[in-house]
Parts: sequence; C-alpha cells; structure tokens
Amino acid sequence: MDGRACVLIVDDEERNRTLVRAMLRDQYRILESENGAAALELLQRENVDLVLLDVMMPGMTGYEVCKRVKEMQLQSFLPVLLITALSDQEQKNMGLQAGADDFLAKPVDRRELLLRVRSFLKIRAQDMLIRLQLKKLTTLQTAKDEMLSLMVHDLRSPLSGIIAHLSILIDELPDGESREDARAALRGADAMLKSLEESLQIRLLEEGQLPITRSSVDLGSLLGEAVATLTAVARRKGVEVSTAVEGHAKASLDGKLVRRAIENLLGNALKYTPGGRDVSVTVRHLLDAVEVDVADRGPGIPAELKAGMFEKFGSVEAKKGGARKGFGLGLYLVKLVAEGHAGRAQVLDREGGGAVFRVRLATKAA
Amino acid sequence: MKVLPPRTILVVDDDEQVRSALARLLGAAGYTVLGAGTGEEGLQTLATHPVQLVISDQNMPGMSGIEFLKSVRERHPHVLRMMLTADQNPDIVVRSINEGEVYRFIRKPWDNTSLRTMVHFAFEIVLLEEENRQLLAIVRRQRAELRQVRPSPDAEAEMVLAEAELFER
Repeated sequence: MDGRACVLIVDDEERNRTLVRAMLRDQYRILESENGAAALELLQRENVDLVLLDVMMPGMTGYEVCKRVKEMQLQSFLPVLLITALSDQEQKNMGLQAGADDFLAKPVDRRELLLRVRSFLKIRAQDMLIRLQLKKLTTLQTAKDEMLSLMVHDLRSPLSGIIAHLSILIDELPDGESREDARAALRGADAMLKSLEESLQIRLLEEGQLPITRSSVDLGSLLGEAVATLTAVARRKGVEVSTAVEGHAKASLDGKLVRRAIENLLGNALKYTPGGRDVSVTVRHLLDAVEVDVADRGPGIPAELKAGMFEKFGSVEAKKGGARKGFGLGLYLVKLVAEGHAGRAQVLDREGGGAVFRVRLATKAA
Repeated sequence: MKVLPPRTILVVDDDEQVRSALARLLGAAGYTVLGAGTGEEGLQTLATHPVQLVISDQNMPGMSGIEFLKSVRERHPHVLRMMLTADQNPDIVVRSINEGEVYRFIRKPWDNTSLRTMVHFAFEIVLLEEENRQLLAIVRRQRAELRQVRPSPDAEAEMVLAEAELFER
C-alpha cells in the first residue's frame, strides 16, 4: 500500500483493462477484476477508492455489479463510473437506476478519464472528511451533554443547601435591611437553580427525552400561575402586567412546559420594559391552536435579528456581545416547547413601540 | 414530668452545605442531628449512636445512598429511612423504595417547611413503633408472670400477644 488512491477496473476483456490501466497507473494504484463476482469479492478485502465498471460482461452485467456495490455497507461514498460503448439514453437510465455516479463512453478518452477519476476521488475524500468530522462532533456532543448533566447535578446539591440556609436566615431575621439582603441572595440562588434546570430541560427536549405530555389545561389558571411567579419582579420595576384569556378556557397542552415558556417570555418582557409602562400577556384559544402573545415596551427587535432570536444563544445581547443575564437559552426553550406542540415561536413589532413574542401551540398532536 | 424520648437524625451527604442546612433546620426544631459524609461513615455512626431516622443522599463517593439505606434496613431495621437527592433519574425512586424501603423520597432543592413536616410525621411513626414494641414486651412479661401463678396459659393474654405480634408485622 502506498499513499496513492486505489482504482478498481472491472472488465472481461483484458485488452480494455490494459488500455485503461495504462492511462491511470502513473497516478493511481490499480486493481483489476475480469468479472463482477471477482470484483465484489475483491472489494471486501481491498481498500478501493473508485470503481471503473464495464457494462457488457458475461455473467453479472455492469448494472448488477453496480447495484451490489451500492448496496454494500461501506464506511463512505464509493464512486462507480460505468464504461459503455452504447450512448443511448435507455442504457444510461439503467445505469442511473443501478446507482452509477457517472458514465464514460467507449473508446475511453484519456483526458476525460483522468478528469472524471480525479473529480470523483475528490468527492470521496471530502465525504470521508465530513464523516470523520461528524464522528468527532458526535463524540464532542456526547461529552458536552454528559458534562452538563454532571454539572447540573453537582451544582444543584450545594445550591439546595444555600437555598435552605437562606430560607432559615430569612425566617429568623427581624424585618430590616439584612433580611432584605438575605431575600436578594435567595432570589439569586433561585435564579441560578432555574437556569440549571433550564439547561437540563433543553438538553432533554433536544434529545426528545422530554416528551410533550398533554392534558386538559385551564388557560386562565395556567396564565395566572405563570404571572404569579413574576409579580414581585414587576412590582419592583413598576411595570404593570395585564392578562387576558380569549376563547374556550380548556385546551390540551403540556401545562408545565407552556407555563415555563410564558414565564421566560414574561421575564424578558419585564427586563426590557421601562418602569411606568406596561406588559400584556394574551392567551387566545383558536380553532385548533392556542396563541400566546407577550407584548413589551422595550426597544423592539431590529428586523435583521428577528429570525435568529429563538436560536440557542441567539438573543440580541448575545449577538452584540454585551453583558447580559443568562445565555440566550430562555427563548430557545420557548421555541422547543412551541415545536414540541407542532407550533412555532415568532417575534413581531408592537403597535406604539416594543415587541410582541407570539407562540403558537397546536392543541392536537401532529 | 414526662421525659421526652430522644429524637436523633443522621444526615448522610457528601455535601457539607446540605448537612449544615439540615442541622440548622432540624436542630432548631428540637432534633439532635448527626452528620456523615459517606455511607461507610454513616454505618459507623449508627453502630455507636442511637438514631431513629436517617436522611441520605444518593450520589456520594464510595457507597451509594441506596446501598447505604439497604444496609441500614438490614442492620438497623427500626431506623426509619429517607432519601434526599438531586438525582433526576426516575430509576432511583423505584430502587429507593424497593431496595431501601424508604419512608419518603425527597428531591433537592427541598422546601424547609415541608421537610420539617415530613420529619415530624416520621417521628410519630418511630414513636408508635417504639410504643408497640414496649407494649409487646409488657404483654410478654405479664404472660410469663401469669404462668408462674397459674400453670395453664392465660387465654386472654395469649390473644393480646397474638394481636400485638400481628400489629408489629
């Protein structure tokens, strides 16, 4: 074996093989078979990079050999070029059906042969490279996922201790600044815990391990619960939150995940809406879907960023590279929840300034 | 004056934060709280200290929580067991119940108030079982005394004993 690519010539006529070999032997390692069975047998043993296949052969025809080669479980793309004296379309169609990659007409032209062989070897090399990279990526992804699970678990336990300690402190301290400090610290710890849970949930949703479990959900109470978790934030900022439910109150959704999605959207809306202005959350029960609109009075989303808003780490700040709380996973989770419900998430302009984040959730499984 | 029975809890967790938080929380509620960083250490403590309740983590260096609770069940069957873990794997719940025969399974982070309530109820069970054992001992002793006075076994006492034995099971 040398570093050169290996070409297998399959032809029953020795004269033809000699001719083609002469054209290629300076640049490639050449193997030869005089019939299809021998070629297939050889392919099992040898590391062949390209097959030149004569169509008209006794026994197995070139088409049959080609079909068998393409059915073989190979590690990567193996180009098969059919050599045929016939130039009519029907022959070519048969070759295409057998999975051939290209055709060369007899008599074979040297320059054309060299060009085709070189092109297909290049494609094969690229294919191998892509497969290698894919394998590496998969390994990296697995390592990352394992690392994330480990991290979430290892952090959740001490964080639970911190939360318990702070809760005791808040219970025991008299009203005053110190108690408020402890409360602020507890909020921070809760936020940390929430983002840990979020990264884990996203991973599970991505892997399809966290399936959407639908049940009949009361939209009013769902919205109420989601808003309740953030009323303290809204009050501190002086932002008024209004809610509305339109249409039939019960819908078949994954209540827990949808609530999380609304909380994420509302959390963002509160973050970007200045004090004294309003945020509104509207849940509309349509014919076969539930639409949730979370409208803020923030700076709005520039048109060129709208499409990427819901991508992983795709939030406006993440793009600008500026300081920000969170890593742009919140909206990504919203998107995964929407897609899990055969729906989608989008961002629109709000009349009078601000943005509207709209999530559409189908009420029937796709 | 009635003397309060001892109420001692052993917390087994490799995380110091968790041990100290539970010691503060349950200590303030009047329990004596002992701590151990590993299952092995926990078993040593149980061999030398009277303990009524253990609360154990699952993922620890060395012995796992389930292994530890299983050993507790075998060596100290009267000690009530709880699992407190950040592990999300549903398999752990099933194994804790089947292998560790836990009284409660709690996820981290826990809520202080509900944890206190669970511990309170756990001790009610501990007390009931203890009382039951004491009553049984009394019945046995009285039966033995009755036999001394009258050679034929007392039918009523036999019945109480059978009842008590059934109850304990």
